[in-house]
Amino acid sequence: MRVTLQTSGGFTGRRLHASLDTDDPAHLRALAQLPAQQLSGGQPPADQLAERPGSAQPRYRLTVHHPDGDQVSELTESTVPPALRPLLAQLLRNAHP
Amino acid sequence: MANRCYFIPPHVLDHIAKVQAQQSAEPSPTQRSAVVSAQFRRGRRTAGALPLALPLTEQRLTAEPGTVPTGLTVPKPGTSGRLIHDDQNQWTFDVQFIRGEGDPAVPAQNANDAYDHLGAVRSYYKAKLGRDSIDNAGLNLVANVNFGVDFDNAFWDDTGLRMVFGNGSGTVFTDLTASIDVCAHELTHGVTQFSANLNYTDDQSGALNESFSDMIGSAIDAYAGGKDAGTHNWLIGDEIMAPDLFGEALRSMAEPGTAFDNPMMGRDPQPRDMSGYTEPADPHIMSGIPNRWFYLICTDIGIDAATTIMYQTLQNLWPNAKFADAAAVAVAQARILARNNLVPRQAPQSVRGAARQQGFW
Ligand SMILES: [Zn+2]
Repeated sequence: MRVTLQTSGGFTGRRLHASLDTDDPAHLRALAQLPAQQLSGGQPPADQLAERPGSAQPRYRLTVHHPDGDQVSELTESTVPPALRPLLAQLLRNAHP
Repeated sequence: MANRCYFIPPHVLDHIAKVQAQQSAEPSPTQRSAVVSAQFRRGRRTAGALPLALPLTEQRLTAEPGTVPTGLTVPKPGTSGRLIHDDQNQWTFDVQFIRGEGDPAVPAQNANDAYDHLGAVRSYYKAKLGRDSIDNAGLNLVANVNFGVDFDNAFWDDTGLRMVFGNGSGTVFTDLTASIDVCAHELTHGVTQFSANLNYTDDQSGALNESFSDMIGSAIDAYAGGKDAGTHNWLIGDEIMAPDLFGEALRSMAEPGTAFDNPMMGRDPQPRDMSGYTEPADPHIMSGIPNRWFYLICTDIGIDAATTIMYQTLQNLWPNAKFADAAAVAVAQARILARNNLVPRQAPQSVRGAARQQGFW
């Protein structure tokens, strides 16, 4: 399964991108438990953008590419589930501007 | 939208707040209500998707360490005291309390840097701006160092009310406690949360939220370094760059868009003024426009006067304010401050002229 990451926020505000193909059961379990905010590609619709929580924390936008559409989840640093850390760390190691 | 109800519609509170901001140096009860209302709305929005934010009174209690080693001092709540926690490279907060207010230095340099920088920022806010800590009511200052592994960032945790610092990867950034501008920037996000509470969205409100942290963070950096508007380098993050990136920075307030250009970081995307404005855009990108507004005012009337005006502006803005709102409130505040001989007499014209140069007046 293909997963892509986009980062933003925090002091640095760096927007980095990474993607990874993974079949690791631990990764898949962690991804399955994420709150899905959207099933489609591209940017969230404008009304959803306006509803985003206001936080200057580092932000991780994770997209899981399913055959029937994309599942997009957006997390702030303090809400990252511990089970997701290994996958997130792996993505961040390969992230680039 | 249909299932929401409010005692007073948010746009009515916002409108009343805007009118009153032109007339007063202090936030009015209506402005405070608008902020509280916005915080309430935000709490309702996130319900279900994310953990609910605790009421502020309970958040303060969470800042108390669970276990206190013998000999360490836990400051009383509401005394603006410092608490430094070592997260021991875990991805959780407040792992080990290692230094409290008045305690002697510890072996870890980054913990002492965080302690010292928090102290300097607290002093600046008190002495120069008359503010008692983040909430202007003595909220204790909680910092976490050694958060995560190779964590290349720092942030204000708006639910736990703490500042969090990573060690940096060593390839892009070094330890993020090393520079006072990081600490001052993050603490100012807390000040914003307790004053204008600007929405952190991909529009002008979000850009203003970022910009106020850069403005006051940079002013404190200049003050700590003994610089004035002419000698300050107006760079954000230049002191935390890894050795291979020496000479680069994260943002330039004097010339947005010129802070970095290298394979590791890409190219600085900030536009210099409104001619490059697009929306939606990340707050860190469009913040360069009001950043340069502040820089221009500083070069005209000095950093102290410009910072006082911006601080008063932050106290009188509202959550969905745009650049032109910030300019209008800043002019009103500059007039009030000038009338009281607290800033130079030409400050209102300086604020307007700089806003016009940046394209939002
Ligand atoms: Zn920031």
